[in-house]
Amino acid sequence: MTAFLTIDRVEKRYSTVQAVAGISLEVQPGEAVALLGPNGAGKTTLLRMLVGITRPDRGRIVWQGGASSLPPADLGYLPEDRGLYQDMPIKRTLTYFARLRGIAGPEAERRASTWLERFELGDRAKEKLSALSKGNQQKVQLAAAILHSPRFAILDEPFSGLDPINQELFLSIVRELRAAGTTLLFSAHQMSLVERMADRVMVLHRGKELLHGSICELVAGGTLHDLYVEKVGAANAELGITNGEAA
Amino acid sequence: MTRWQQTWEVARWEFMRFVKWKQQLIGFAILLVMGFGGGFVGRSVAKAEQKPRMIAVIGGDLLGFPLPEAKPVAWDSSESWTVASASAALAEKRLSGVLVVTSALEAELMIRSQAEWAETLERALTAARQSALLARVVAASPEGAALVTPFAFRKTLTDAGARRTELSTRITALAILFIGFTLVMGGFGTLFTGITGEKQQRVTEQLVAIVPPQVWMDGKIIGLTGAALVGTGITTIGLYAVVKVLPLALGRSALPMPSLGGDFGVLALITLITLLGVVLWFSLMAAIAATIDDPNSSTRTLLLFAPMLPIGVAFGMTSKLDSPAAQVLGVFPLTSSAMMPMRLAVTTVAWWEVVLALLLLSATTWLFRRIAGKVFGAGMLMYGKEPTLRETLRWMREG
Repeated sequence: MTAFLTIDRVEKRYSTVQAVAGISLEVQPGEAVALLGPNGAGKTTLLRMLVGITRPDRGRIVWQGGASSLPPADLGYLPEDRGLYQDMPIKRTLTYFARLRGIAGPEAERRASTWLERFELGDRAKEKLSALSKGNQQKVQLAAAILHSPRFAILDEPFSGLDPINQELFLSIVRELRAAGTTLLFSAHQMSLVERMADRVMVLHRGKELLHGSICELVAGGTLHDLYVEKVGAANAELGITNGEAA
Repeated sequence: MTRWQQTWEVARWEFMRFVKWKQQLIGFAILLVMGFGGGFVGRSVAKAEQKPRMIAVIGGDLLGFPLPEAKPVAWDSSESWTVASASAALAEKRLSGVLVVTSALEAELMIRSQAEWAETLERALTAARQSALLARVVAASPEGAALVTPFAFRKTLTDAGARRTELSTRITALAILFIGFTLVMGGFGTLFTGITGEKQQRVTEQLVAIVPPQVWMDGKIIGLTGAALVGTGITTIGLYAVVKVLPLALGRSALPMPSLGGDFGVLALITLITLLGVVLWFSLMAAIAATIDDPNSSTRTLLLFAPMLPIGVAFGMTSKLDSPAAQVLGVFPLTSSAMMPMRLAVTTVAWWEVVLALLLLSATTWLFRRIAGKVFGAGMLMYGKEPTLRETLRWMREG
């Protein structure tokens, strides 16, 4: 099968920091791959390079068909740095994002309404984003990333800041996306949710691959949480890092 | 979706974000109320000030010339007044003042409190005495007549471009400059709020994943130019209504406002050059705003006032629009958008000057737009610190 996404020995350096150091990864169509790792491991930098926000210093990123970037209509992106227009009505904002991705006006409005209903925000469609709670703002943010039914979704820490009820809601929506054929690459720190959501995981540490494999293989007889703590802890110890800080 | 379609979507969005029709109409209404209300209040005050002030004159025959007309003063030179009776009448407010003339060169004015008309009265008495003395000199000498005869001077305007009166010419020039100023200042506010606000609200990352920075930049400039045009248009219509209608409502003659109606070529050129200038300055301001991390503390906000420079220069040239300096500034791309529209409206401009100005302005606008797109793309995602000049120059080179 042809990979949907091929990341080939990609490197990125910011000043003195090697953010990503020769990462290679293939994501197959319909697959859900999780990027794990401590803060500063290079997950967000890697995802930003895939979206085209920054460019790799070395290596290649190849999408299905040989293209170096994916058309906006095929790509959904939930950034780690969340933010939408605080002073605009939420339905208009969602419609705008859909239209930018090439969805015609009436259809864009219909999808915005559908997703707001799905997130139980239908009756607040005309309110400004600033009037919503942080959790509800996160829902609008996710809707903006996926309302165009992308073929490939990149979600950077989709569960951060959510209460358990909303985590379950997000999980069910991501499952619906997968059922509709969307390929998924996401980063997260919630190991139990990753186990339920991902087919494969890659653990990054200091920009390098620490661990890579299918969930079934990696957690056989244990939990992803334990495995993560063991491997990242060992890597930290090797570098003399305690509590995430270098000695 | 093509780049043009995306640019249009961004432009439409930015226009809608910043054009609040309800607020625009309220602003328009306030402008009219203030303009007309201020005019009528001013007229009422002026009328009240014109109420006659009765002044008793004692010893008026010592002046040696008739008492001059000095509105709002009205003279009561009845011989029955004495200092005592006039003072009593002044205290009882039956008189506004008492003028006691002691010689042809000296008089005392008694008033209850300070009054503006007292100075008018002093000036009128001085002028009347000078006129009387001059009349005596003229009568005594044949050359005296020449002293008061003005020089015979007749002005003939042969240039079609100079057909308008000097006052109307200056008003036209200032009006065009005002429109340009309002456009740039209106856009300054929206661009600054729009871009720094987007950075602070962290909208940028989501958007840059969908549209290229240059498309976003182009859309923003088009949308915000539209928003600034709406704001400026409404303000201009309001001011025009006040300036044109108010004098008539007050029973005065309207200010001479030459119409460019029928001169569609000139009007189209003025519009085109002004819009190109707006795009040029908006591109620069957007690039600067994109490098600002915190608008409350950044010193770079001062750079955003750069477009005021050509407008200031043009303002100083409104009465010298035919000078060689005005010709050069009318072609130079950083000043032409302020200078050339004024020159086109009030004087004759050679065709090659217009073509050269348009070419240079278009090329510079295109260059600024491209550079700004690159700076904008890199600067928009830089949070927490502002790029150094070296970094900014590197982005420009990469562009």
